Amino acid sequence: MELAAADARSIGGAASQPDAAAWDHTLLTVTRQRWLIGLRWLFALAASAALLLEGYLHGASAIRRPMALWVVIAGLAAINVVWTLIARRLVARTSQESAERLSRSAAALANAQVAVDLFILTLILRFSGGVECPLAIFYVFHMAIGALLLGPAQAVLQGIWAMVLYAGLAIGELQGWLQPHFPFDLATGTHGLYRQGGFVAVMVATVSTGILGTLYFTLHIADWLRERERQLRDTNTALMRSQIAIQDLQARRSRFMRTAAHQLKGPLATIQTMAGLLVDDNIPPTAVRDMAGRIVRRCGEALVQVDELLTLARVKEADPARHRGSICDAGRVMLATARRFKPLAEGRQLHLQVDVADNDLRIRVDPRDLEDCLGNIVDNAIKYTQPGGQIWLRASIGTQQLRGVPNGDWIRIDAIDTGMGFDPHELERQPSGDGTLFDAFHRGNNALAAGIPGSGLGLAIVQEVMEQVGGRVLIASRPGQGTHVTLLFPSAACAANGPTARDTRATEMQTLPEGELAAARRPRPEEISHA
Amino acid sequence: MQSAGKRILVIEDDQDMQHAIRAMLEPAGYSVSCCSTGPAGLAAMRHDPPDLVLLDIMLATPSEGFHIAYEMRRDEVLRNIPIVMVSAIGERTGMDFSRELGTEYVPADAFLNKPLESRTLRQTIEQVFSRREAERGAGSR
Repeated sequence: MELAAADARSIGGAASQPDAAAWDHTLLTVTRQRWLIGLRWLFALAASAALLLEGYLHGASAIRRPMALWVVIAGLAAINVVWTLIARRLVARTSQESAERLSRSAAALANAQVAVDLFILTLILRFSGGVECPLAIFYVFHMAIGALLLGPAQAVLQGIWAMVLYAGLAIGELQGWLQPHFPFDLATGTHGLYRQGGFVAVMVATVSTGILGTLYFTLHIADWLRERERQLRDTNTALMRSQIAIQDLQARRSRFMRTAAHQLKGPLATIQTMAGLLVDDNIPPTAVRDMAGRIVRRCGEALVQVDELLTLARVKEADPARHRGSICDAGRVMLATARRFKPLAEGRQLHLQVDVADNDLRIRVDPRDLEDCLGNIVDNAIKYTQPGGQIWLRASIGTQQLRGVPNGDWIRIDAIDTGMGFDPHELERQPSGDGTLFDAFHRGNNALAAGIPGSGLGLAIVQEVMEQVGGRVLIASRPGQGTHVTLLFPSAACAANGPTARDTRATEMQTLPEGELAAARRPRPEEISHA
Repeated sequence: MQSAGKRILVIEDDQDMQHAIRAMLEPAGYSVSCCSTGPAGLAAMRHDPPDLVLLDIMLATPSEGFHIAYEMRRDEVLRNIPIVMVSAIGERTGMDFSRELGTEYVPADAFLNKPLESRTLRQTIEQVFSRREAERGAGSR
């Protein structure tokens, strides 16, 4: 359960990832140490039982096990109580302390336990036969525990400590520094092996090799285990993140559908109201014609909105890789779009001017999507500019220095109008991260105030396409003065090797300072204009 | 006719809906004026208080109508003007405001769903006026 909490903590932020690993490791270590402490109780019990059983079996034998052995076992039990208390305090501190401090405390406890265990084992060997006692095999057991609980360097140090202890014991008895010798075999007494240099040397060498060998293998295995743990944890984190992302996506999708439905319901309710009037009421004939005309117009607008929804859906669902296979000439498409909208512009008494630079303006984008994009931009410029206003369209090479793309590798489309523009607060990103004028169904305040009909989907379509091709869209505007929309496409040459994960920061917005709009309208010297 | 000369202010952002409401109410003898935004409506009300306000809930924001109504209830002069709220969101989407009519939450005299039907609209307005008359009569006694 503690591990799950640590996992949840780690979901909170990528920045806490190393922290989460530290937490997990600490908690794991503390848990394993409590298992070790439990094991020690078991050993103390088993050792006592073995001694009692042996005493009973030997009956009135002259030689008995030294009292010291019982003292050592009692000491082991006493120290185990101390370990228990310390471990409990460690667990209590997990909620209050930093992972690093706790980790250090846990490591200290583990080291202390292993070191003390090794010492106690040596004492037991001392009082039950020295080098003659086969219980030396338990050093290996402690090495395995050490490799699991401790870092590699610490485990090796503990190994050296073990070897020093055993060698010290063996040499001490050999040289007579440790007196008396307590035989292992009570029945037959000592065989004097402990005084034979050759035997002692072999025993020390064997035990040392065992210790080193075990250390090597278990450290290797422990390392492998830790790696697997880390991988599992990472996979878990990634899975949880995906789940959250999927839920978020589903929420956004249903929000989108609800909004789309509401957007269509409004005009339909109005159409039905008007149709109802025509059916039920005594409307004078002149008014009938007018009302029928309104119904027709609103139906048309609703159909346009549905069409745009379908376009947005098509663009969103299509395979982003389709752009790589199509090459379009941005200049040609710009001219075609301008031609298409010229009648509309003239009908609203707007002056529409097109400049296409005499460079290679080829880009990799699906032609239908490019037409939709440019069409939306030009349509917006026309719709939101009052009669007598001006619109400039330009296709050229971009010399922006932008994230990740060197100079001269952008193809740039500009649409500048002298229309109503956006309010400054609309050009800021909302604190929540989404909520910009590129959102589906978002209508500019000025457009709404002027009562100009629109679906609010045009910029959503543009954003979707630009994100897919790895481009950028910039909107700079000043209320009452105009709007400058710039589309930046990677040039066909440089986009060939690309892509790329789509860039979801493809949109930028800013409020234009006074006079900037005029400066933007002047064609730059390096361009050659075509009418 | 009871409705003779009664002035109705319509706050509705859809121009065609304004036109339709006019076509429903003017033949019945009401004098209809229209505003497209909440602030414009409030200004018009303060300048020349109408006899009844027909208030669309969804204006610039999805619940602006409620805010207009609360604003009216806070104002000394405007709080006595009867309100008929209109919404395109009906019971089928789970929101049934008619049960909370007259409360602080829905401070309106009546609640109608779009699409509007002229007989229903006229009857509702008449009922609102009658009820107010009755209350005034009872109060003055």
